Formats: sequence, C-alpha cells, structure tokens
Amino acid sequence: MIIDLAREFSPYPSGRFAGDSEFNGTRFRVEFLEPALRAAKESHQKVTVDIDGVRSFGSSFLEEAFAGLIRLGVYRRDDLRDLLEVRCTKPHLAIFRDTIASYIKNAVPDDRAVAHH
Amino acid sequence: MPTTDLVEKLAFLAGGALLAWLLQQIRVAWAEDIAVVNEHIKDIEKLSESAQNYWLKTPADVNEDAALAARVRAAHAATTLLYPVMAKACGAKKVQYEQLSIELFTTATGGSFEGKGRTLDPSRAIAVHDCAVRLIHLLRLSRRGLLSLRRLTELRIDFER
Repeated sequence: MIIDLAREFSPYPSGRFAGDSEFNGTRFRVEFLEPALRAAKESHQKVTVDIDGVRSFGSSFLEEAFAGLIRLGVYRRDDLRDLLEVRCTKPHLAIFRDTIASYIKNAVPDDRAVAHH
Repeated sequence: MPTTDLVEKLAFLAGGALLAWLLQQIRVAWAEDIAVVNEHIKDIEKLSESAQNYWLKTPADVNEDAALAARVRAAHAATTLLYPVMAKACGAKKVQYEQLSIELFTTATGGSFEGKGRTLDPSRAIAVHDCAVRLIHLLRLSRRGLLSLRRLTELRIDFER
C-alpha cells in the first residue's frame, strides 16, 4: 500500500492545523495516514509513504502528521514502525526521511494533545 | 646513442614530473572538497539568517508571513542538496551531523511555522542561531579532517554523488 504524498496530497504540504493551510499535517494524518494504516493492519501489510515528488516540508507538518500518531495515542511506537515506512530515492529529500524517523523515535504520548515541537 | 647517465636523468625527470602532476591533482581535489564544505556552511548561515528574520517579526498580514516562510523554505532547500554528502564527509561525526541538521530544521520550521496568527518568537530565533553555530563548528572540524591523509583510507568521499 503506497501513498504518493506529492501526487495524492500536495507537493507543497505545510502547516500543522486546518487553519494553517489547506494541505496541513493534521489533514494528511486523519484523511490519509490513519485510514491507510488501519487497512494495512487488517491486511497484514505495510504502508509506504513516498515523498519523492515533494518540493519541501516544514517540520511542523511532519511532526503533526507522523509523530502525531504517537503523541495522540493512535499508535504505539513499535506498532507504527512495523506498519509504516517512508520511501525516498532523491538524495536531497533524505533529511526529511531521517527527520520523520527521528520524530517517531522521540514522540511521547501526550494527553494534552498539543505539540509545540 | 644516449649514455646510461643521460637515460637515468631523463627517467628521473619523468618520474619527478609524474609525481608533481599527481600531487597537483590531489591538491586540486582537496581544494574542491573544501570548497563544497565552505558552500554548505554559507547555506547554513543563510538558513539561520532567514529563520531569525522569520521568528523575530510579527507579520503584518498573511502575504508577508508567506513571503518570510518561503525564504526559510528556500534557504533550507539549499542545505538539503548536500546533506547525504556532508554526512559522509563528517566521517565519525556522521550521526552528530545528521542530528544537528534535523535539530536545525526542526527549530527553524517547527512550532507555529506557517501557522495562522503566529507571532514573533525570540527564544526560537536564538535557538536557531545556537543550532546553526554548532552545526557550522562541526563542519569546520570535519573540514580540517578532510585535509589529512586519514581521509584516503577512512572516508573515501565521492563528491560526485
């Protein structure tokens, strides 16, 4: 199961919340990641998020979309690692792949459900 | 017929010229590598400057905010081009370089970056500067390592990648 972030969502994702921009991190998490992860879990597959076509990210988008899954208690870290992988073949996007991995590694479940990373 | 002495002198001359050419090639290659590191440091300085401009200003309207954010994004995009190469160039400090790069990206474009109604955040501006300085320091240390003969055996950097 592959989500082509640039094609299916936006090549210019930005912002954390709905009021920040149309293509924000919350929307991507709720409308794309969570349904795909649920389906992948049921079918014992993985979700691959392909970021190759994206021009650039803000870290607020990445934190909200990916670390938000753990911070909001939707998934536990180990479960998320089993279900999700991020793919990029372009060297200049490698830092974003590493950033997502770092956010997932360091995310802490937070009852307040508000992040100020 | 040239004498044996003359042949030896010619061989010595040819060997010397070859050695000089090889040393010159190595010197040019090292100078190019150092130039790449210097360019990366300049890109980081630009990112730090544009991020500080962003976080030290409350935008008058959404257009101004978008323009300031675009400058930060563009400056960061310039730093990402060399990220894999610089990670390799840092040798033993590769992980440290990657962590600092992510920290700089997170600090510069985190929090309420591109958020509706965001206000100035001096502490974030200071944090950006601090992180950029640490990253630049690491690169300067690595630049010194690039000049040593160790790199021939340890790093095997391919700047053409």
